[in-house]
Amino acid sequence: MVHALELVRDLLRPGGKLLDLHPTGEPPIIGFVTSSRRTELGRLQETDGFIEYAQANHALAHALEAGWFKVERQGEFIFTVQADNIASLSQFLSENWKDSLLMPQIVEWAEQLAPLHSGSHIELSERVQITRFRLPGRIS
Amino acid sequence: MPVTLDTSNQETTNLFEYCPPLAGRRILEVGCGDGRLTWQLARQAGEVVGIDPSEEKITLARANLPEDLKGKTEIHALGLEDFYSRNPKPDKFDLVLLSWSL
Repeated sequence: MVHALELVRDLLRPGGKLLDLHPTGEPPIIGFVTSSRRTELGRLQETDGFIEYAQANHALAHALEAGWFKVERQGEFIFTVQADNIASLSQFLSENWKDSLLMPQIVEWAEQLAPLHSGSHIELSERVQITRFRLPGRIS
Repeated sequence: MPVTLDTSNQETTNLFEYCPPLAGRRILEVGCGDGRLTWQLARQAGEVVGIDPSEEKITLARANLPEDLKGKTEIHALGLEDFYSRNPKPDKFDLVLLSWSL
């Protein structure tokens, strides 16, 4: 990851910017949503405990310490994934998030609720960090 | 559609709030996946290069590339290191976006 940031530095023009988006590592919340209510079913887990996001933060800290970049602005937002039902979410995760763990009790609960609430859906909410960096030197 | 991404539009809103002015600019998106953010960037920028090590995602991205963006968008099934090594003196970029890829 540190090497990637070194390459990025070399790929930027003078005055260029780096924009990084990565999850904070807080386990995403899985909600059951109806027209009137949102029930938190639990949190998505990962087989490696979201370690890659801590590693990303470490790599960025190294890049800042090395003076490769300066932080211009940083914030967070919530990235939402909406699925018609828990089976659709499960399939999406198996195709796109291979080290995710959807706990059986969450699936079971969602499956119990679905028949009782027509028009409901499942929502995965993930906290994402966004940072804009600039190259050191003259501010542009 | 069984699954929809960024339903609250916060990713798109924040992305463009944090981006510098993009008109006429050259952008590298690292981790472009199926092009979900790439097309949005390309509509505002001068040129976008999207890379992703997943052949499957890049195949999907190429299939989904809007016709009106083909003249200003390149998509490559490459990781960053391979992209860099294949372009020993690459043209530089105004913005590099690490799109969920670090």
